[in-house]
Amino acid sequence: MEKVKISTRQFTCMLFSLLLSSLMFGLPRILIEQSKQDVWQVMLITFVVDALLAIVYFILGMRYPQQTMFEYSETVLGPWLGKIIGLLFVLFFGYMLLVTLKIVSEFVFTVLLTETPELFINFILLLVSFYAVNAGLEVIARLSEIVAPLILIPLLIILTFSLNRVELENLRPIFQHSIWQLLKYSLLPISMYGVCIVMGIFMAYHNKPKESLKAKWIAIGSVTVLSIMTLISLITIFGTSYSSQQIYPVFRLAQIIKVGNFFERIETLVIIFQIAGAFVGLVIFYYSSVLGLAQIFKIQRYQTLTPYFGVIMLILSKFVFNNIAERHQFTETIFPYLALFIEVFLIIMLLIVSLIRHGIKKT
Amino acid sequence: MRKGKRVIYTLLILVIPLLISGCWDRKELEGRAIVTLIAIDKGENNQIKFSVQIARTSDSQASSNGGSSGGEKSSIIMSGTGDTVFDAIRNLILKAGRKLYYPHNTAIILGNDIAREGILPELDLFNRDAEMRPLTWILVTPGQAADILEAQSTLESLSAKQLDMMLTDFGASSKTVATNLLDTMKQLAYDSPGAVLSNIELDPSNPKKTLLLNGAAVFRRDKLIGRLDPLETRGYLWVKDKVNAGIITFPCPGEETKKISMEIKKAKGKIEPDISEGKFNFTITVNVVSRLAEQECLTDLGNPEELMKLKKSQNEVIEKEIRNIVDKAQDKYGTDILGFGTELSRKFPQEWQKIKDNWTEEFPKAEVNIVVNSKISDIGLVKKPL
Repeated sequence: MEKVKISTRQFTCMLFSLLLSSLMFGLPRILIEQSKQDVWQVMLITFVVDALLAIVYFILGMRYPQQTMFEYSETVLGPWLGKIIGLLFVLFFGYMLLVTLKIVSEFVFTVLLTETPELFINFILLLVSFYAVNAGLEVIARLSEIVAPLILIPLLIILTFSLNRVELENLRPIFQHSIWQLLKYSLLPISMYGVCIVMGIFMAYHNKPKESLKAKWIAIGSVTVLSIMTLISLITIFGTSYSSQQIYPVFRLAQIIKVGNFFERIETLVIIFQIAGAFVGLVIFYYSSVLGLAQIFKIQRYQTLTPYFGVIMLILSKFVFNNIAERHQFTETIFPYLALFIEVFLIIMLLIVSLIRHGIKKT
Repeated sequence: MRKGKRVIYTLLILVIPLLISGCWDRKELEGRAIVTLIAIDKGENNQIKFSVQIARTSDSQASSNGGSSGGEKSSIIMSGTGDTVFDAIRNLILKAGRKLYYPHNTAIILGNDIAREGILPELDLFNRDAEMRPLTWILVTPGQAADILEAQSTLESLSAKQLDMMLTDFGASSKTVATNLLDTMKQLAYDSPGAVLSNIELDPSNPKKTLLLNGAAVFRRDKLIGRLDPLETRGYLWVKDKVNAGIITFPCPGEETKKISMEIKKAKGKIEPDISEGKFNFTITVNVVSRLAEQECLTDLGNPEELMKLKKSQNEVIEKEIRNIVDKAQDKYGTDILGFGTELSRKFPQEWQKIKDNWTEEFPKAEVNIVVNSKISDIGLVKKPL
């Protein structure tokens, strides 16, 4: 067990940058395509569901203080079953790492470095994340403290300076979907918000674990507010048809900003915050996977695993999806169920078994 | 040990610049030709003729023409053909040598023939490619688009720059529309019935070829079906709430041969849909604030009674402008360019789901009321003419 401590603010920043960056890439298009003008209701449902889920993670973390999710699943389920569940979590984090890697390199490849091989972009990204992961959790936490404003400020600049093109009429008609449809559409954002199960790892290192729940609520609350603001500006500025056509709508939003004759062409801001945010995501998933592996197989230092894991990820990144269309289809159809199985079902099962085996009263 | 570490770090620092310079994607300015205008026409054998106006950078000017001044043109025009737009773009490199650079392109001009066959196929590339920008102007011309590239610029050194300024300031007269790629794509979005784009021509009154923005082009779905003259275009702009300024002229009260100019200060237009007994009614409301800017007659107009009369005539003129475009859209083109369907879908979503497939047949039958409210804010520096 590492002797590291992270503060509440760092805890919030980590979840905030992780979540916001993974939401801003491809999700706006899918959400607007599905739920049109009612997209804010979907986001609110997502927020409520995830805030409730956070309580489950929180209770588990409080019942087994100083233990990460990999360790307490062994405590709860016994060594064998616990290891299997732990491996499922590792697989999930590994998959999320791959997807984040794919998303960034696709983005960079499409809009920025069109001639550079994607494998090379992946290599650079993994190399930098490798360095950060080896440096340990405290460095990752401080990194996300720097990155959080790097995401927030460019996003706010873009949202502010595109206000002159807002056409509020585009917000109508609202309430065109039934509550069942909305719940169905919110599966995907809920599964995206669910990456916050990394909370199950960070809580063990939190210096005031009691504040974890509050920190998580602040993080998802601010992410929800920001993503609703972004989605609403996309709808009011572009209309639903145009925004559900664009693969990177936020990038488009930055492209149309023109204030006076000098403040224009600021897409770079989007590139900065997308890559900075995705970098935090990469580092967190990378760290979680190797830490999980090390704790499951009782390896003293997780650092011994990082290089091998990185190489495996680099090789896999070449094969995992043939093209962006395949990834989109997977994200829209299969991913939510897969992710919800891990993020919701497994966690709730853990809690139930823990309540039965160790009684309700245990701290 | 310490020394060895220092050597490794120094080496690392020396290697990093090699990685961050972006070896694969560097773009040297000298190797680029900056495209300022694009024209797309129908070529022979159903091919696409793609013409560009390239800004002459000082470097290429000096090398090609030994420092000659005066009559030297500031741009070069080139064209290539291909099966698709992108094919034509790449074929153009065979002639240009340099790779063309598009992010500074001002406008895309579409020729008449290609616009009649549909513009979405041609615009797809510009919407898809990351190098193209959504704020590029889209214009249609009645002849060959390549001819527009040949136009002489008057005040600016590049006709592209001039075109950009003409379109940015279109609101001063409100007699043409200015549509960029984003507006165009929004107008052509999935279930839209049509679009209105800017129309550019060579000024017939000027023997030296110069540019003239003349009215607008009307599209059914994405196919060009006709044109609007400047006043009809303003009718369209009233309805779409896009009039910012402009001059309204009408005869003096009492003296029919003399005219009055009213300057539009502010205008607000909106469409209110309504359904009664299965019939669709639309009420177009326009609120205008204007000022008396010029009068040719010698009557004293500076009193409330006369201003009331002016207000009435102004209402009539505006109503006529709007009625013209509504009639034209309903009867001549049979296309909902004014966005009645969109308004209907916003206010009556359920009814819209039922009617939306038959909207083309229903639209011409819809009843349209026009309400114009005017306010005359001031009369300038003069109380009455001498």
